[in-house]
Amino acid sequence: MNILVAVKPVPDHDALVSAAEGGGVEIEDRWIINFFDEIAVEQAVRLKQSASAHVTAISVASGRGASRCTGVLRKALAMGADRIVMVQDAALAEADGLGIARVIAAFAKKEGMRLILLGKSALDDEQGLVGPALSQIASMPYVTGVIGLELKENESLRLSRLVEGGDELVEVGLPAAVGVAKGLCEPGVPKVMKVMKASKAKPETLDLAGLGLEAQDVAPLTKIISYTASPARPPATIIKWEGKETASKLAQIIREMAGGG
Amino acid sequence: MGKRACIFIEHRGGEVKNVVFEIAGRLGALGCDICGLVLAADEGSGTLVAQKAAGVMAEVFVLVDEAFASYDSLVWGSRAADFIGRLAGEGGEISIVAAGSTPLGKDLLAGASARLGRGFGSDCLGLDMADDGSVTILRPFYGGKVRGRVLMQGPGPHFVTVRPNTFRPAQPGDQSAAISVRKLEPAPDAPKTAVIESRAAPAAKVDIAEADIVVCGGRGIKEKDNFHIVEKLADAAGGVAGASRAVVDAGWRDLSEQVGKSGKTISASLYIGVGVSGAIHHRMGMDACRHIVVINSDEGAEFFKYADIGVVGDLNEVVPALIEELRRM
Repeated sequence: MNILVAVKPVPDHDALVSAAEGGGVEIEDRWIINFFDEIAVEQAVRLKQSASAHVTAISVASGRGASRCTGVLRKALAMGADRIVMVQDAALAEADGLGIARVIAAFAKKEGMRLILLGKSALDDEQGLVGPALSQIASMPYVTGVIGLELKENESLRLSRLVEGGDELVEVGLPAAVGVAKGLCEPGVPKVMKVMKASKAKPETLDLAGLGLEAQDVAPLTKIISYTASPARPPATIIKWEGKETASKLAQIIREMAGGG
Repeated sequence: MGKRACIFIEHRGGEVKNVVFEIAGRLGALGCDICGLVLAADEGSGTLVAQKAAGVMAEVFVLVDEAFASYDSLVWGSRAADFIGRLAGEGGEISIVAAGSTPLGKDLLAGASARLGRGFGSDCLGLDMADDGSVTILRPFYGGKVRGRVLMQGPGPHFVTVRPNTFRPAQPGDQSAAISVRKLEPAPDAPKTAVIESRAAPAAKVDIAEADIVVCGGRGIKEKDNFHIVEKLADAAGGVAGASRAVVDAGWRDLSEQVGKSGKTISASLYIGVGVSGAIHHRMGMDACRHIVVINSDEGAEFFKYADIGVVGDLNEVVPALIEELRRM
């Protein structure tokens, strides 16, 4: 069974990100695999044994982001992916989630992918657009917020998914796409030998034409005009606890804040 | 005549989500003619929901399909998109389709936008329309470290989701929307997601991502049995209890209550942190809250730098005393 996992590089949690003069954004050059994508890779690799599956990891880049994508693809390889693929094309420079979804859908169709695993959202924009877009483009069911997954006879999936107020057990036939959430599985730490071997690996590369796509298929429908700093909070008022008096004062402040003040 | 806008009326347990009224407030301020869209499994419940939103819209459409009994990304997204496409064709261009930034609202509008090949922008902190009708949004990036102004390009409708507590709610007016019910033909071959078992609590508790007030407990609580003081404080303050990642990972609280990067992003009016260290992954989930109060015994606690009010004291003294005061008021 062919499984596709989409992976994306995002800035490390502690990486400095700031609005630059002129409206651009400056990001410290520290990139990691998106948190939820790592979980997706781990899940795909675990299915390899039980389902005799073949796992391909894919990442989509413009020219600039290529080395970052290569980094996360190598991570996927070290974790146990069988094949790593990068789709790279200058036309992807400003691509939005819809464009990315079209690329992934085209590759999945070309390669006969039966199951597509993604992180439910990426921690750079947290839009969660690629999964549902992929679903519509490929006309395949998409279930997100998945915290439990069981493959049944390579024909269907039994999934536990987060819903408001708890979770729900659902069944969906293959082919299907799944957006994974925290708790599905715990990514392991790849063995050093695998990491070293993966660090030299070159992903297969494809461009849009190789997928039968054109630049207009990935033309962005949103454009970031400028970045600004998030408003800074003035320094905190520090209150030292001194018993009942403080309680009264604090309760008053809280009531005011709660009242929408 | 203003630009047309459509709001997805998300509902649970017969109640319309508050964020729907907040979106109506903003779109009304922009001068839009607003219609609403309810997706319901049966006409009766759909109409009841529509009536609850009728006071802030010109028209409400209720789409009825058994498939709307539980969420299905492909089916709901396709249905919503096809209906919106028809609506735009019949009654004239729609500028904006909006929903609350709930997991369902985001997923639904993302899918619908893709089906129609239109732009999508989520988690709006700002929503603007220029005289020429162009739509721009302001939204957080990189965990809220920066914000970006985003232009929605191409023809409308532009699909946007809005976080709770971002805009002031519209007040119901004298108008009451006309409600139209459209029963949909079941799509025969559509691949579907079947629900086997539901383990969701009934619509009693407000989700932390939509709550106005959240009291969040962290590892400083020291033990699971002590967490009830967080719940009691939340109750006394009129809000809900949340939890840090450490507390959820330790199994004291459910993932649904986790605030932070790998949990939920909250946009409450008031956040109170009790025994929470305030590490960056947590702050990214709550620094958009309007007012932040942090209770910590360590005077030099890092979290104080990101708060409005820092209370230096032992939470086991502070919290019970605070509960008593709040109850007295």
